[in-house]
Amino acid sequence: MILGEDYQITLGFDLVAFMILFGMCLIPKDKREGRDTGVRIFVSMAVCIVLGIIFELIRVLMPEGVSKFGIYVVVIADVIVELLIAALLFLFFLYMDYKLYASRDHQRRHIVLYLMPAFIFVILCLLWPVTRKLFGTDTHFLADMYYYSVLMELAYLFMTAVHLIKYYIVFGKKPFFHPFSIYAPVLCGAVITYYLGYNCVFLGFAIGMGFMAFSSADSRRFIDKDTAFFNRAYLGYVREMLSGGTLKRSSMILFEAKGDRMAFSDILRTELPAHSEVVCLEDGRFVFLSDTGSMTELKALSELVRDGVDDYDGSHSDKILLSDDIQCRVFKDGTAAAGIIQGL
Amino acid sequence: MKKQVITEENIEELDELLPEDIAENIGRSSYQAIAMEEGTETSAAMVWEYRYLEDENRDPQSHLSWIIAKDNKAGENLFTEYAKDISEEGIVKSVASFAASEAGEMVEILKAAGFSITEKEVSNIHVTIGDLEKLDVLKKKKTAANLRPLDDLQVRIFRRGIMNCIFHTKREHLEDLATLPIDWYDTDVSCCVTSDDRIDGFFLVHRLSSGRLRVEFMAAVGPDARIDLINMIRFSAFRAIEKYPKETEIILPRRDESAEKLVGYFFPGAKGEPGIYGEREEK
Repeated sequence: MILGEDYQITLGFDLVAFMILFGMCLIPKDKREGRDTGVRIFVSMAVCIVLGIIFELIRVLMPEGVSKFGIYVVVIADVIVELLIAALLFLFFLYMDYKLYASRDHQRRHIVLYLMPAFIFVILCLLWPVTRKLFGTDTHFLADMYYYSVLMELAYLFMTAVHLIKYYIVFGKKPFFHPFSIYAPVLCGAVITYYLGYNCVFLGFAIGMGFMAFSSADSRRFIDKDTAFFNRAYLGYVREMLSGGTLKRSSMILFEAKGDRMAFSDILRTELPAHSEVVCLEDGRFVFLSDTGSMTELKALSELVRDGVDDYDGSHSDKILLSDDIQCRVFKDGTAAAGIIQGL
Repeated sequence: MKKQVITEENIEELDELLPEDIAENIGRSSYQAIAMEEGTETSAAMVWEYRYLEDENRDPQSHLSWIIAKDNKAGENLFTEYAKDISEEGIVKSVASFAASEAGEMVEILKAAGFSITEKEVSNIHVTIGDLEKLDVLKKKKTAANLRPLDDLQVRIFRRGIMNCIFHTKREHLEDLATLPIDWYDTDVSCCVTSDDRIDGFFLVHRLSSGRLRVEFMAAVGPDARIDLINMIRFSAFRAIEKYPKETEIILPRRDESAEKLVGYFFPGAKGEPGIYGEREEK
């Protein structure tokens, strides 16, 4: 419930938020992303914003001098908007958690902990008669519920901030995603909502999510559309960063699949370590980049891939036909690495 | 004196001299052994392990595991042949670390060979199965749902898991960890953890020929690495207690700072045996 709200300004913010979400729908999508947990959470956030805008419009557009029934509609819409904001913050936290750890199992294992602020909110609401006496307040239930929901939202904002800091430490030097850039509009929305009374949390989220969506779409210029590995353009980007000393890669393995490269890309995904950096070149060659300087380990990894290919070729008519010559190379330094990569 | 390279085929020549726990390493790719023959008698022999041999980010080293020599002349000849072998591999430094109780005459042989010797606590910690039973971590009995014993694992999945851990861990590990077969480990006691259908942690225990146990690898690289590591240690401890008698010795290597902290967490105040540490820069 926002005191002193100007509904025209709120409507304006909601309209802009809606347009940003509509614009995001027009961005070309990768069909494979539909199966990604992070994308599903992202879409859920967008759904929350759309529903929140709808209920906010119901609340704001209800005419003055409304009937008793109308008052109930406004109150219910208000409560739903608050719950949707809380849901949005929870989903935002889950999204950052997934971005940081890329693990569904991790989220499953910690879901009870993650829902703890929500549990506490529900308990506080259920025990309202008791807490009212305990805190000595004489406010209405809805007013107290609003304050409890603000506490819950702050808890999720804090948890998300911790994840953002961790994410920045781990991934800060990587391209495409700048976590503080999306956090800024969300924070601005929360601050304006709290101090000025204009509800622009949804607009703040929509701006942040729009940035993420466009950033993700921009990053696809480095992704091979068939295999979803990196493409040659990414190799050029890596070469620049290696030459400039801002990136360290110690070694590579060069595979060449003369047959079914899609099947080979699936085998690479299975056999290579998690989150491997693989570049797919146009001519059936795949480059695995790594930080290890150990030739023993590179050779062992290439043998693992070869065994995977031999198993596949033994049972499929469309064979992968992996070249016998798998090149494992260790780089002396960034300049040497850039030179070798340029020659690929 | 004649130099003899010791391999799995002729290892019986050192049967009476070579400790069984060292002998089982002959045949591993990173281990080398030579003996100096004087007539039909072995006058000197040594076993060493290469480290970082194929690692471009580090200087290759040689770690001496075992040395024996009947006199200084035999020791001198031994080290002459050793120096030839390691120079071919580009070794930069030789290192020797032995418990004081086992060092014997090795100190004099090493000094004569140009090693600088200091007294230093041995990096391995020795505990027993009986010590494990007192661990607080064993108060919780439940096994984590994402934990699997090694005897439940196919070889291919094991290899994938090993490579995943090697490429994601910063912990010091065995030189040939990537190539050691699954049956090198005690598959009843060793275990792994999985996340999102991938193995991202191992606790691997090897049973030495003498019957002692040695932890070969303990690392978790997933999002819940700390909890996974503790769960694996708990599981392996329970299995080891069930399988082995109380007096069975367990060797806990402290290869790096992380391992030191982990061992210190479970066995606070535990120290390695007093030992001697020698090193020599190689040309």
